[in-house]
Amino acid sequence: MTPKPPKPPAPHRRRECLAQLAQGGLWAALLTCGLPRAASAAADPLELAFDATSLDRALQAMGEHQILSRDIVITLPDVAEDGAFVAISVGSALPGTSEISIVVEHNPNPLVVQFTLPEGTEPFVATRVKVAASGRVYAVVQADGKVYANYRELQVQRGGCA
Amino acid sequence: MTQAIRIRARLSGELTEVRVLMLHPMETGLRKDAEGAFVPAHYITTVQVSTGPRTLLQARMTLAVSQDPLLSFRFRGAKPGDPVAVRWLDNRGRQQQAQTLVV
Repeated sequence: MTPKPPKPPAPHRRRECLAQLAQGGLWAALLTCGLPRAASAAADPLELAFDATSLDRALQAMGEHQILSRDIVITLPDVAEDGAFVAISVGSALPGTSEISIVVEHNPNPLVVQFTLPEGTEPFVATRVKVAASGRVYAVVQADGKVYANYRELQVQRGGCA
Repeated sequence: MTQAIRIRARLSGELTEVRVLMLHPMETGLRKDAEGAFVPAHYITTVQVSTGPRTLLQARMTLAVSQDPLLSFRFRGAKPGDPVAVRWLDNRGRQQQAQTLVV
């Protein structure tokens, strides 16, 4: 862990922010700063999924052939007043469920969180996420080596990604 | 001082329901403070919940998990008195852990 640098004068604050984002391991920030494309190509699929800045890319990085499945049950409010705190739970009735991920369509980085569920843990998780804008919220499930997905529409009254 | 991790593990029939609340700012790096300066990103990146040597849940988080992350899940095979431990790491290399017993 690097020590915190002294606070620079105002004009440098944006740069400081970017630098700290990068220190934090946010590949997205690095990419924005113009890191060569090859660096991201070398990353593993999960890193690509976390780095993705569009829904399509995030989903694609999580598996080419996703099967839309009603065996994945997403519990969400229809309307969220505050996008900074959206309660969500995902349950899967798919045999051999080992991973559950939550992907939010309009977030700067759509993949929000990925859970690994070893045997003996029920295929269910509940948490709270930030949602930038109204749109689809996906749950992506890995089960028996296949990738499944389902989604629900969510209305957000005040975006929660600041 | 506030407990930074609160855990509850309650046995009901065959399943133990675990609820974890981790007090953490989960700053995105996009928020500005009162003087208009960006507040640096600060968020939990990984969480591991375990009972003894057995991992119960692993989470890989981003800054888009809400402030004070809340997790809830269920697992099989516990009895009252079994330990349930939570450990998190954040993007600044800080870590915290806490433990409770199944009731």
